[in-house]
Amino acid sequence: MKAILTILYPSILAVSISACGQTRNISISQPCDNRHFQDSIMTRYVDSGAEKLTFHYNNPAWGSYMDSVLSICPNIAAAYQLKAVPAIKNGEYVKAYQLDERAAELDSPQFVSYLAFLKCIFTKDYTSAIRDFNRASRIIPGGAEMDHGFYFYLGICYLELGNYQEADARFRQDMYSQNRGDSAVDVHFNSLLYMGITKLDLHQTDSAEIYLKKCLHIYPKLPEANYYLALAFKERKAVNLARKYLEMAQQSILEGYSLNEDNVYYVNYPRQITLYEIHQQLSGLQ
Amino acid sequence: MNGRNMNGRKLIRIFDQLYTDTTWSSAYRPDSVFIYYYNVRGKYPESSETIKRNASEYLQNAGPHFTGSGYITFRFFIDSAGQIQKRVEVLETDEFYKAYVFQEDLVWILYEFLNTLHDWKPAKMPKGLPPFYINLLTFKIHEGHIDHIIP
Repeated sequence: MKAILTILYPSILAVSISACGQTRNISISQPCDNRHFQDSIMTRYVDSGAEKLTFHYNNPAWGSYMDSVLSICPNIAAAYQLKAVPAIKNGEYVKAYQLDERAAELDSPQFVSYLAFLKCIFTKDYTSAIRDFNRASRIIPGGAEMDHGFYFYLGICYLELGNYQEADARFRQDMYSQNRGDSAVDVHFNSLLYMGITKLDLHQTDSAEIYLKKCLHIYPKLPEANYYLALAFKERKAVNLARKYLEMAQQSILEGYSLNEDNVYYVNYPRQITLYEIHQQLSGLQ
Repeated sequence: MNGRNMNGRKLIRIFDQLYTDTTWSSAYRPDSVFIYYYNVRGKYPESSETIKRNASEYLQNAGPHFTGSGYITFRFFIDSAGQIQKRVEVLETDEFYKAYVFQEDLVWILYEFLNTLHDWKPAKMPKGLPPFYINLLTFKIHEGHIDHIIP
């Protein structure tokens, strides 16, 4: 409680801010839809406050800084989203989604796709994620979230729901959006990885091999690409090739390589593997 | 389900938090600032798909059929020997991320499964920090069946 009061206290002082060297009073009725005013509040409480805390968002005071922002301007979407960060990472889904849904209501262009991303990657809520990504696509056609276009995540959702036709179509759209059909232009290796996995699930092993080898051409040490290519060879009874790629997957992990996505520290991406799965497959080849 | 479950155990509610037990023997307060699994690359060393497969088999072998959809999360401390410490927190939501109460027997069976996992990464904390970190395992449930594992 003491910590909360300590942090809320400056929020009351925030009614006096410095502009051009002069202090001017700002009443609480200052329009909070003024972007410049919102930015000044965020700078004060987030950039100069919460972001400097030890343990960052896992510091108990983190949420109090966001509450300070919201006590002044309850319509700043980013404050809700930031307040939800520790909750989504620490398994508190009631709190996390209450806040992230509020952020998405207040600033749909920025946070509807983020909400969809959380549902797709963090809570494996694929049906709802598809709904939100489609909503995001209507707001920002061809938009992107966390380094990937919406089509990429839609592909993952359909893949995990077992709707391979839709997954295939979305991954094609994802790759086309990156290279406009020019095969000389590389697409993201994880687009190729998940298209390869889709083909493998469909037992189209020749096609899976093509996508996974393209993926490995860009990121040769990607454990998952080596692993699923091994499974494609295993399905074709090419045991020596299967062993070769499983051993490459194993070596890659031992050297510290992994699926290269920002959020893999918090959550496993669909079909992400560990040494355990590689050892299981290798022992099955004996 | 109210009251004790089939094994005579009962989840313990303290204000808005739920625990399998409330045993705490560390010198550090349980509400201290702790390191989390993602700070130490401490996700369980099996894929989510492998854990789901094993957990589903465990649940099926347990016998009863359950209902309800949503998420059951166990949040717990891993010590310097890689062991789950006492005082395991249980968080439950429905499939729309609203507070929800699953059948308690389901929670206990999943907790028993959690206790079959023995390869948690031992904590190696910086000097001055508690010698344990927080880890979690979430079961996404659809109509009583395990749909996915998080992380």
